[in-house]
Amino acid sequence: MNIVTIAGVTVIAAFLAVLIRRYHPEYSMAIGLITGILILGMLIIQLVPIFGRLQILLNSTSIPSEYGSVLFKALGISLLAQLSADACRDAGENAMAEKAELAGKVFLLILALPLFEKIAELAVQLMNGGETG
Amino acid sequence: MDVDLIFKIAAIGIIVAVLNQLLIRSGREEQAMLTTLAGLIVVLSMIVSEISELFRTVKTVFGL
Repeated sequence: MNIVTIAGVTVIAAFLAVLIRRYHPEYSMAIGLITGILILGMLIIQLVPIFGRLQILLNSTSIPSEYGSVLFKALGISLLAQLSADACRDAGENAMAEKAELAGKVFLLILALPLFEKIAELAVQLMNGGETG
Repeated sequence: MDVDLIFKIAAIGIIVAVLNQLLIRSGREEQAMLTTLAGLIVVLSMIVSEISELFRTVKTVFGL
């Protein structure tokens, strides 16, 4: 799958969705959702080697390896939340789209909270070191 | 992950629309509604299996 295929598929799917929207809006939403899912799946399969490279790069630095995995998890949560929110927004349900995005933000916060705690600990250590020294 | 699914769903939508019009013109509103419902269920079952596959891929790749 290359960029030409994906561009053609999205344009044809948009045409079909507009064609069917007059008779059955629910099928139009189904076409939009399935197109998004197929393209996202293809892109994730393409992303796997890039993630391996990034992991090797992160391991070669002095950064702990769990920070990299937090980064990848945050990317996955964002992609899923964005997919569901866009599907809801296409169907005209803005309230549900907002809730999906809010859920994504909450889970990102839960994921990132241990890192915030580490930064706070570091700041406290630095301040104590400044007082004693 | 194949592209045929988009064309399948579009074809089901067009067929259901045509059948719906045909059945409403011949005065069978109940059967027209049942046709719409059946098409919707077929499409939804196709979408749900794809969604589960995507979620599984995301879980394995991103380590969620």
